[in-house]
Amino acid sequence: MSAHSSFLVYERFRWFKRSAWLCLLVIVIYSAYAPVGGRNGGTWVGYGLGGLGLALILWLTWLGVKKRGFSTGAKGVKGWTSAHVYLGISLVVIATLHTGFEFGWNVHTLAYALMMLVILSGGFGVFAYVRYPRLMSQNMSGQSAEGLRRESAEIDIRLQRLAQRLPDAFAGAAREALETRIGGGFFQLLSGSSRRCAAASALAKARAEAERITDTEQQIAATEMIAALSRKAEISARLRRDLSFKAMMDVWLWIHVPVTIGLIATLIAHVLIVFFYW
Amino acid sequence: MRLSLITLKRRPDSEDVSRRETMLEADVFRVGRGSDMDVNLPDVNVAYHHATLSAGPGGLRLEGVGGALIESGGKMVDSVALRPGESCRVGAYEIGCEAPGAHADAAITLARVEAQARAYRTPQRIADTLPSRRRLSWLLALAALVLFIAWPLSVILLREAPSPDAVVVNAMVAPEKAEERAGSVATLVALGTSLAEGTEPPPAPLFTPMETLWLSGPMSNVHAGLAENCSACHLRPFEMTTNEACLACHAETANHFDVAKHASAADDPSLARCAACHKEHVGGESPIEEASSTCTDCHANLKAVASATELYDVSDFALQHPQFRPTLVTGVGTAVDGALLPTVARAPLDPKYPLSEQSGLKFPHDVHLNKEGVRGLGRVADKTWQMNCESCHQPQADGALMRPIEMERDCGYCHELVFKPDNLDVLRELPHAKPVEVQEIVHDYYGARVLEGGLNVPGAPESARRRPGEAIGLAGRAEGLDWAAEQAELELKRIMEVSLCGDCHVAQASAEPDSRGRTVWTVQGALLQRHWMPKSYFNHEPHFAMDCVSCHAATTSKSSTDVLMPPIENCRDCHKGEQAGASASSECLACHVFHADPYGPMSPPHGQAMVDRRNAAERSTVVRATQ
Repeated sequence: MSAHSSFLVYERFRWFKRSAWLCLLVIVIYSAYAPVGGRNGGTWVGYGLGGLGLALILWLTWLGVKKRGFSTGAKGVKGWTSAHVYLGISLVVIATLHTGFEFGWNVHTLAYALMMLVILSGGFGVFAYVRYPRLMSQNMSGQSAEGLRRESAEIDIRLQRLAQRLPDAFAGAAREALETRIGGGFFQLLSGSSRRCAAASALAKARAEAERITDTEQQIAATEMIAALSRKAEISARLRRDLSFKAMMDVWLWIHVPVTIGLIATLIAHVLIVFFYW
Repeated sequence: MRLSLITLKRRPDSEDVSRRETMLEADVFRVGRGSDMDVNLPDVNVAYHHATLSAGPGGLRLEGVGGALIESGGKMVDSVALRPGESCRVGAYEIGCEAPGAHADAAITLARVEAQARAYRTPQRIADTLPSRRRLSWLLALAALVLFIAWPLSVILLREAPSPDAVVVNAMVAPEKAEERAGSVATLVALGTSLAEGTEPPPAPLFTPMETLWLSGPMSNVHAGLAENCSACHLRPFEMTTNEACLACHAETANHFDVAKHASAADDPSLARCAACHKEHVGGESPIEEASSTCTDCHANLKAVASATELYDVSDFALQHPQFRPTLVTGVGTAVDGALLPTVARAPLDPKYPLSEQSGLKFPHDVHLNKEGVRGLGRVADKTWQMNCESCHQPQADGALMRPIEMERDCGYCHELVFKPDNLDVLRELPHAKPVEVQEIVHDYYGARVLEGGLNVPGAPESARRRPGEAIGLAGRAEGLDWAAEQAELELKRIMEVSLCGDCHVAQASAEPDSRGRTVWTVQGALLQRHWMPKSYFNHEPHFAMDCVSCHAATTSKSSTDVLMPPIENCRDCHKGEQAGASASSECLACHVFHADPYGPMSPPHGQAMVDRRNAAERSTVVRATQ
């Protein structure tokens, strides 16, 4: 397991085991208690599970805030992340049993749905943190994004220099290649697609144009330009993939974080309502 | 023409501009990107041979080649005249004209204008393309608080909660029609207006649609009408629903026990609340809890909560439930007015010690259920019928219990009450259950026949045998009537003891004759038990597929004193207890009710005080729950 995902196995699954025991305990209590009117959130066990769930949600939120600004070293971050993930998953069991499997079109079920949304998005986050760092290093094959950008800039200068020795069609291709965009809108960033890559398009044009050149000197320059464009297209694709991986590792936070805060507000309403109309 | 080409270059990080002069000599200078151009503009936006520079009027002339354009004064043009002090642009290069020095005919400056940094940077992270998480968080949280708390509360808090001392009666009011209901905005506007004008504030709506979102679950069907009237039950904020709210409608519901007499139960608030057993907002038909644990929580060890109880402990129908103890007539007394006073007692149905009941009726079931058939009586004495249980026992309209036996309807077809004295052709119908009238009829009959004359009966006096119409002398009359009274007494003894009444009842002759010299007969009416187990409600209907005799051993019963009720073991064949998987319903409520009113240990209605107060309140001021 890579260093990025080792929070899952932290201290030999310490938090996994703790969460599993907690779930087991909760399931046993839930099964053993058969109150009048059926099991639901309004029984004493229901109140207990709800209280436990609420405390966990608040604590996990605080952990989520805390581990971002941690300065106590990698081990601390790893431990708290591990706790955050496994206790978060245990909330599925605790909150579902709290509901007693009673759902409806109301604020109470909304709170449950929001919580599940937070957990699911967090699950995607775990998936992203396990999967993408490896893909990122594979993609960069030992180079840094900064290095690739520098190389791309150097290629730009080379392209301009080469254009001086080549017909206008090549200058057009070079001009297009200079406009190559890395990044873009939300969906472009997320997909990391190079389908409309300007460098790749310029490369195709330059290749087509090179067929028509007869002058030997120009042929040499054209070959050089094609090589440069080809390298630029490759660098651009890598940079886009890199951004896409980064975006995938970030995007779930736009659900995870705001929905968590929305969930806490909805939980305030949930608890208030339950005891307002007791 | 000698051209001085001055390349201007700004040093990085400084305002200094370096000038490097190159001298060119030709008539026409080629300007372009190409490395073999006279004036080389290494920019991809410049054509290979973009333009030609030549002498022009008052200076120089730059002319595009092959349609290439030059930017001058913000316009794209084919050619441009350059006089000292003027400039134009080709690609990234600014070409300016200067007054030439002595060594040149013309001078131009070349300066690369760095492309201005784009006004926007291509977003590199999704953070640049999405609203900030902080803003989204605030938005969601605020939306939740406003929608789910502020909006409904703004209306709810306008409602007046009844004070704890108020008599809350009849909270069930018809729900407001949705289209007639004031919306929350309208309510707030009306409230604001009333505050501004100093008038009475308007009544708050009973319900705001946003409260629907507060419902923790669906109302039961019987309370569906309250779904839009939360405050009917939730009287005051942050207070558990009170019995007071329930009793506002259910004041007449009987108590199961008198809370005041059971200190331990009274101390336990969970027992004293209606809502301890009746859970609302879980849907279903009604908030009645069927699980036996509701009862057995106490009844499994009742002494613990009611030390003086004489009830047996029950934990499960199959495992721990006392033997059935039917209520039996064990004896009969007679009141001063002649009414029968049955003595009743309960005794367990132990198959080893058969019970007997004193109903006062002589009735062998086995004779009536004889497979050979039963011979009729009276005018149908020559016929035989096959009888079965339904011949006499018919269920009442709801099918639960058997309708009471009525002699005329259920027995009378065979047990015709007619007497037909010897050698007399005429029948007389006798009324049932009226022994005095029977005696009068029989006496009247014989007296009348003697006075009529023409009696051809052995032993009859001469005066009775005289031809009809012949006068009867005083002596003959006295003799005849003496004989008639004697015959009537004999006939009555037969009727009472053997043939008609005596067939089924026990009749007793008075020790002394009455003032008319007649024996007075009393016949004990039958005291048929209709409900042997009045603390349960047995229903025959669901048991329709069973034979009557599988529970009631009537075919072998020789006497009406036999108690044909089945013991609990019979029921347990199918009702195997709540814990058994495949079983007929065995929970307490299958046979018993909790709020049972007419029976001894049960106390008067829960809400007796409430009923009294309501009756008083109806005469004075009625405080309604929500109005």
